[in-house]
This record gives sequence, C-alpha cells and structure tokens, in this order.
Amino acid sequence: MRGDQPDDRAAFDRFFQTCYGRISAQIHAYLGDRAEAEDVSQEAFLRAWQKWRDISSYDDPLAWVRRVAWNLATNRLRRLTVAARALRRQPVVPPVPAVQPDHVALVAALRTLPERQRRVIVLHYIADLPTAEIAASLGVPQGTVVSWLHRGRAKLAEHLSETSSGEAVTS
Amino acid sequence: MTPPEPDPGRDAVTGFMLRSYAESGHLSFAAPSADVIVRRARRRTRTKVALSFAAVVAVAAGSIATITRLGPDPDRDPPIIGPTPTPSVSVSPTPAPPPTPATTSPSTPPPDRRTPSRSTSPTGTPSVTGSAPAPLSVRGVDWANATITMTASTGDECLTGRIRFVDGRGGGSGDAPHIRISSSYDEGAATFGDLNGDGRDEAVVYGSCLAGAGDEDASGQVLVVTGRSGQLVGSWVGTVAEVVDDVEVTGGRLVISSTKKYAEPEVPVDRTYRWTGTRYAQS
Repeated sequence: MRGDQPDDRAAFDRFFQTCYGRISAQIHAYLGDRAEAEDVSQEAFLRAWQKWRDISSYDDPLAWVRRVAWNLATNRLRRLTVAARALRRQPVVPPVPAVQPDHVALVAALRTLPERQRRVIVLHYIADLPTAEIAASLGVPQGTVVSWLHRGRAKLAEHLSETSSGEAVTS
Repeated sequence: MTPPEPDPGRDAVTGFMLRSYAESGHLSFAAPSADVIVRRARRRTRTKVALSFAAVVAVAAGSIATITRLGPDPDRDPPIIGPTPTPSVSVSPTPAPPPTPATTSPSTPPPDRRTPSRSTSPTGTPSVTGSAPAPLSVRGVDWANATITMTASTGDECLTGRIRFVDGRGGGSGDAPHIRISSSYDEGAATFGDLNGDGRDEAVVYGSCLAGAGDEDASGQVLVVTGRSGQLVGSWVGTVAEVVDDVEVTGGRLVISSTKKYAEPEVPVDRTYRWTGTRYAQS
C-alpha cells in the first residue's frame, strides 16, 4: 500500500533520512560488511515504502523496518558465511574517513563472536531492545538471551583488551 | 535485564565502545535520496501489476462460481480448541476484495485512504447468516490487521479461538499471551495455493506465539489460513523457530524450505506437508 500523495512522500522521506543510518549501523555491526548492510537496509525501507500507507499508521514504523532488515540480514548472513570466514583471516578493510577507529575495532571484535551472541549484543546494546522482545523475535527463552549476552560480552571484552594494546586490529 | 559483569575493567571498555557505537555509529551512514528507493519500488511494481491483475480476475471469477454452489462441504476445517468463535461471522477485510490491491496499485487510492484498515469495527463488517456461509477469499487480506480463528497448535501453548490482530499483534498486551503475524518470514508477500483440494486457495503466512513472560514457547512458525467456512481459520504448520527461506504450494502440498537457527553448519531442509482432513501432516 504505497502512498502516492505528496504528504506521504514527504513523511517517508523524513522517516528514511532519520532512520536509515541507525538501521544500517545495526546491520553493519551484525554482518560486518558495510555494503551488505546498506543493501539490506535499503531493501527494508523499499518494502516499507511499498506498504507505506499501512506502516505510516503504526505506532512504531521503525520496529517494522528493523524486523524486516534483520530477517533479510539473517538470510544474507548465510550466503556471506563462506566469504566472511575468508575475510576474518584478512586485515580489516580500511574504513571510510568518517568511521571512528573505535567503531572499526568493535565491529571487528563482534565478527569473532558466534552469530547468536553477536545478534543479541547488537539488538540489546546497540538497537536498545529489551531482552524479552529479543527472546520473542528469536523464539528462544529470555534466559537464553541473557546467557548469550553475558558470554558474548565477556568474549568481546577479552578481544577488545587484547587488541587495544597497540596492535593493529586484524580480528 | 543485564547480565552480571565478568571483569569490571575490561567490561567498562566494552561498555564504552558499545555505547559509543549505539550513539554515533549511524553517523557514518549517509542516506541516499529517498528517490532512489521510490524509483526502485516503482520499477518492481510495474513488473508485478500485470500478474496481480490476472490473479484478481481469477479470484473474482472464483468468488462468483462459489456463490452458485453453496451447500454442505464434505471436508472440514481444522479443529478449534479453546474459546469458541461466535456464530455470527465477522470478517476482515470484506469477502470481495477491491479489484486493485493497494500493494501493487500505482494510482487511484480510495477516498478514505487515511483510515487504517484496523479501525474496521465489528459492526461495520458483514454478518453472514444461514447455515452455509460463503467462503472468504484469502487474497487481499491485510494480515497485520485481520481477524483469524486460530486452531490448536501442537505442543506449544498458543492462543486459540478468534484473534483480532492490530499492527501484526493479537491477544494480550505486554507479556500476556499473544500471537504475532506477518505475511511471510521476511515480510514479503504471502504465498497462495489450494492445499485442501476444494478448489479455493489457502494463504501461507508466518506467525509466532508467546505463552507469557519468559515463556519457552515463543517461536515462529508457518501458518496456513483458509477462508472456506466464511471466516479466516489458521493452522500452524511445520517446525518452530527456524529461518524460513521459502514456502511453495505445489501439487496440493506445502513445501517449506528452512534452516535451523544457530546450527553449525547451517543445512537447509525441505519438508513437505499435506492436509489430512483434520491437520497438516508431514509427508
């Protein structure tokens, strides 16, 4: 249900401009690949525009886009797995100038975590979702999410403390 | 809920970096012009319009045909356990879908386009009388805001009975038992095909149920919805909590291609289900 009126279009433009970066950053932290993250993010917003008349009336249209983006990213990750394994052995691609070194290090460290730990850490600490909501979306008990968060964060701390001693981050 | 912190010093660094990314990670992603998205959507729509038009004509023809042969149906709907649906049938949306589905229509929006479909009140819906209600088309249904009678699930304690969905959620609020529904696993279009051999299409969509706070049955699953009895009736099918790659109706059977979540290595599996007269069984 795409909106065709100028008002619809203006509202969608605002929504897209405001939220695109956040969705892309979350998916980037999950996939570890900027181009793939932007591709997934744009596809999610495209689907939002196709149903904009409905989605614009939702209490939280961003939640819809986030769910679509994460589902797309999950599917995408599988296809990327082989490539990602090769990438892990390579130095991190030089970042675009606007990217902070800390963020590059964090994304690299996240790539060393198992997929499920990385996912819940991004959803909880970066997308700011409560553990109950993450549990419901993944179809696992809340206690499991908390356990993954705990283990993932401990591994992340270990990795970040190793790589913050002056060595280049190679993940 | 925050997990216990393992090492205060190291963890403080991790916390700082996560917060920093959460607060400013998005700044390195510059949104392209929304024109890019809109143009891409328009290109995609053009290729679908012709197909959709043909489908709507076929569905409309089907509706007319079914009116002429109302009568006792030899097959049954899936068993409904739990709250019994009220005898007067409330449907959402109306049985005869408009000839221009809004998802693909590039123009001619309806005059009340600002009114979300979920605002449809029970009094505004048609009441079907008589012993043989007209079958309801499952095409053109706004799944996020539909009213569906949920049949019993196998094993999980999902809500059953008549559920009215608003914005994709039906049942209690907060952590109270509820069901979430969407047109497909990745929010794409629903899949259609005749699965019970009555000549009318069923819709294959996606849902998940939560039995309560911290429950262990929160799990996504494929949902088949039929409109044969004049109301939308949903049955859970297949395995819970998997990544659903694809669903297909072929030869009257439902093929679900899925991958177990968090499996190493991830191996996609195709499973086929058929309607036995009372439920969908793997075959």
